[in-house]
Amino acid sequence: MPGDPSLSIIPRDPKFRGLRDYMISFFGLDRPQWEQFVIYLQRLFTLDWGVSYQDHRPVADILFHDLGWTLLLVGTSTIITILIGIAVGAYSAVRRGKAFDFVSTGIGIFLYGMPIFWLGLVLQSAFRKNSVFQTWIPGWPALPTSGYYDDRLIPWNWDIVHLADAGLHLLLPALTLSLGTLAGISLVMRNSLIDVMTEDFVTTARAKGLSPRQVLRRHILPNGLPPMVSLIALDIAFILGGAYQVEVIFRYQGIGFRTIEAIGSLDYPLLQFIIVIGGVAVVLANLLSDFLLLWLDPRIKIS
Amino acid sequence: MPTLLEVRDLTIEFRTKAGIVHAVEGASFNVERGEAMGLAGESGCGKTTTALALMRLLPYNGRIVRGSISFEGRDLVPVPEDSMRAIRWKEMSIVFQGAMNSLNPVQRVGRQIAEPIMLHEEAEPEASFKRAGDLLELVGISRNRLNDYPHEFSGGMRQRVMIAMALACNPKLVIADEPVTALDVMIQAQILDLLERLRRELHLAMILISHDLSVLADTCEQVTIMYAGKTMESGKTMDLFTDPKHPYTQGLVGAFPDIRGPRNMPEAIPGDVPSLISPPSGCVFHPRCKFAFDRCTKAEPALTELSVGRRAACFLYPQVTEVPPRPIAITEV
Repeated sequence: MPGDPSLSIIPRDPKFRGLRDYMISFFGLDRPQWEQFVIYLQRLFTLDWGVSYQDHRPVADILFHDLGWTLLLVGTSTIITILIGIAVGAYSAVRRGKAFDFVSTGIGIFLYGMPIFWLGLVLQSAFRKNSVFQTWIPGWPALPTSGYYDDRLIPWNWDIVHLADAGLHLLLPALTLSLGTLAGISLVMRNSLIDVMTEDFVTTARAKGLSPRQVLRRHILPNGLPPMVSLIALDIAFILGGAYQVEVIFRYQGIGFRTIEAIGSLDYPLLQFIIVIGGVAVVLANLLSDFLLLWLDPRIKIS
Repeated sequence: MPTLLEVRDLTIEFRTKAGIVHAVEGASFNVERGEAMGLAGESGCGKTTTALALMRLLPYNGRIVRGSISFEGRDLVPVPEDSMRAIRWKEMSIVFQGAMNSLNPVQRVGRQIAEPIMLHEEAEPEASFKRAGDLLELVGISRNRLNDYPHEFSGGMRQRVMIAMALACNPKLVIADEPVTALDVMIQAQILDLLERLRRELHLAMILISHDLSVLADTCEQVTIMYAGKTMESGKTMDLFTDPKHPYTQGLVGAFPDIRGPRNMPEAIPGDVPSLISPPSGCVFHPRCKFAFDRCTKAEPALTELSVGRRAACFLYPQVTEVPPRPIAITEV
């Protein structure tokens, strides 16, 4: 990694020379790189994840606080995305070639191609106070566009006022993230279901006299879901990446926001731990999806 | 009591990007109660399409243009989809080829067999599963296997499960579409014996679709031969195979090796099945027929009764008439 983190903590002034040298040896930056790496690995596995250069607090303390907010944001948006994505995908698969299919696929591809940060900016300017819409359309809502909850409500308290305000602040960032990832889910869902629909057992199900709805619920969906589960698990990394942009645009101070800050101030211990968390998240998501597949598809067995 | 199934002039078209496919044209046959009727022909001649049309299960781009399917005296062609659902599986059921893909891979077979019972007879789940177990035993599978998934069965056993499922609601007619095609010869014989036994015991009528004439010769009382969507010949199985009238039937029977006679290479019918988008003029078989003469290229022979219960569509027989020119159907492309 480039740069000298000591410079972002202590000014480049000869009279601080002694302090700088002390900091460099305190953080072990004067050792050879392989030695630094061995020390890092040793500490990683002994749960000593280092101290932030910037905050002088253990990185774990900083990040577990941020992680809570990011999980709230990513979790909400993932749930919205999966529910809407599966519903839209299923409906357009059933009506493939009809108006709903064309419109939903068109909108889907449009959203899929739109950069998430831009979508965030558009939503912000549409829903901020005194937006263009608000002056022209009576009753157009204004939604909070930054932060976890209103500054006036600090400190945090587990009561209805705080929760409602946090929910309101969550609305726009979660919507941005959902819209950005929705199309990926709904388009794959649509194609996966269309594949299943041509299978012989679907004709069997229709021949049994089931209604189209029963055929869809009992025979098509259970066979179309397993590919979706793997896709969503693989998407977790992508969703986290999208969360970086959303968090910065909406000043939602989660992991993503912290990452960008840490890059700006060359806060290596913080960055390293963020990367570890990202890796662990992807591995966990895949493990979870494997267990889910085991339950959804009887043909998969652990040997 | 009316004939169980009486199909008249059934004509089916598919709309594709390449044009309108005339998949079946003027198919006519009868199936009596408890009787087995065989439907034979090369691949792509409209056998499966006919079977699907009988249950009104054509894919979205296919439709019945003309003709009637009268089941116990009631024409099924104009029946609305909702009412059709009550007839499917209850009155007639279907066994598809290769039970590999005809069973839902993520559902236990017991549930799949019990599903139509619960649907049509509004039976309690417990009673339905009990009946599913009885059905499995009827086709020679232990009822302990109700909770197994399709992939835990062999190909032959899956076909047995499929047959058990087809019998779930005591239908009057079972359509078996190439029921033994993907199976090895030993298992084929077992499955055919099973079908034959069940048919006699349960007094079922059956339509057996196959390209394998030996399968039909074994099991069916009547046989209908189809070619390029048209019915070429029909009659009693023994008559038809010992004395085929239509050159196409003669070709099919001739292409079948005889285990007793001298070891000659069986004779093949030259050429391929014609395009169903632009079928040949006149008799559809004339480009491949060694007896074809002038009239065959111009006029279309009608399926005409030659003797009692024996019909053929070929101008070699003087009594065969021409199909009157059909009114030009107005179909939007």
